[in-house]
Amino acid sequence: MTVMRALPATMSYAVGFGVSSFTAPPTHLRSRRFVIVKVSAEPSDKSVEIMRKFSEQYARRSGTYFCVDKSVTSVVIKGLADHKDSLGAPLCPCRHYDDKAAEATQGFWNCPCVPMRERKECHCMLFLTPDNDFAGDEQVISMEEIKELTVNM
Amino acid sequence: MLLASTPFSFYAPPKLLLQPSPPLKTRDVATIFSTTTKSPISLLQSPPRRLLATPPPGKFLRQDYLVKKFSAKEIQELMKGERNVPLVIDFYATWCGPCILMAQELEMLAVEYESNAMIVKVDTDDEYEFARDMQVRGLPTLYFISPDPSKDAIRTEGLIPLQMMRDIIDKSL
Repeated sequence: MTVMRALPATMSYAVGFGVSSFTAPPTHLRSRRFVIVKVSAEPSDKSVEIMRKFSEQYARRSGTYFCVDKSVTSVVIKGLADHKDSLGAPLCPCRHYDDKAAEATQGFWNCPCVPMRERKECHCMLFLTPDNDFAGDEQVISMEEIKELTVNM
Repeated sequence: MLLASTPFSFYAPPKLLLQPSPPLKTRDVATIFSTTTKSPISLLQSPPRRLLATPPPGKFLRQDYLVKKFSAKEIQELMKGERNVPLVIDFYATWCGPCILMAQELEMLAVEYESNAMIVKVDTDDEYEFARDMQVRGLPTLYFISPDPSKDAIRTEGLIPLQMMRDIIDKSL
C-alpha cells in the first residue's frame, strides 16, 4: 500500500481520458486487462490554475521574475500541479525522490522549497532573481500561454 | 482556346519521357498528373520536372530526435558491452523545466558529435530504481562515462552550458 502511494501518478490507466489519475477503472475492465500504461498524467486544469496564481503571487512577493523562455515556466507550473494532484502537495518537479509521499509530508521540497525561501535559489528556473542571465522582466503568465507552450507534452 | 491546348500539352510530354527505364515512367506520369491541378498557363510555361532517381523512402522523417530514450536494461547492456565512444546519459523528468533546455542543448551536441559520442536519455519517472541506484537527486543530471573503464564517470547536476559539456567530453575521450 505504501509502495503504491510512493510511486508517482504516472501509472494512470488509459481507459478513460477525463478521469483523474487516482480513480481506478471499473472492476470489469480491471480484471480483463492487466496492462498498466505508464503515461504521465496531465494535471487537472484546476490545479494548474492554482499553481499559476501561486507562481505569479510568489514572484511578486519575492521580487523574482519568470524565465525569458516561458515554456520552462509553463512546464514547471504543470509539474507542480501534477504533484499537487497526486500527492496533495506541490513537490518540486525538478528533483528525483526516493519516497515522494514522505517528502511531501516532510515539506523541505514543497514549493516554495527551503532553498528558495532562504536564498532565493530556484533550480527549476521558475523564480529567477533579476541578476540571473535567464531572467525575463515578467511576473505574470496566462493560462493560454501555459496551454500553448505545453501542447505537445 | 486555352482549354483545347491543355489536353494537347498534357498528352505530348509523356511520349518523350516514356523512353527512359520503366520506374521513371510511372513517376513522371504521376508528376504530369500532379501538374494538371495547376493552371494551364504554368503548364505551358515550365516543362514538367523529371526525376532522375527515386527519392529516399523518408525514414529520416520519423526520427525526429537524435537523443533516444533508453530503458535501464538497455543502458546496463551498453555499459557492460564494448564501447569506443563516450556515453552521455541524461536523467530527466517530464515536468522538469530545465530538462527541456538541457534536451535542446543535447540535441545540438548530438548533431555536432554524431557518432563520436553516444547520447541517451532516461526518464526518471519510468526508471525509478535505476535513478535511485545512480543516486540521482537534482534534475537534470548528466553522467559522462568514458569508454576507458579505468576512468571515473563525471556527473553534473542542473543546467550546464554547452561549452562545458564539450570540454568534458573532449577531456574524457
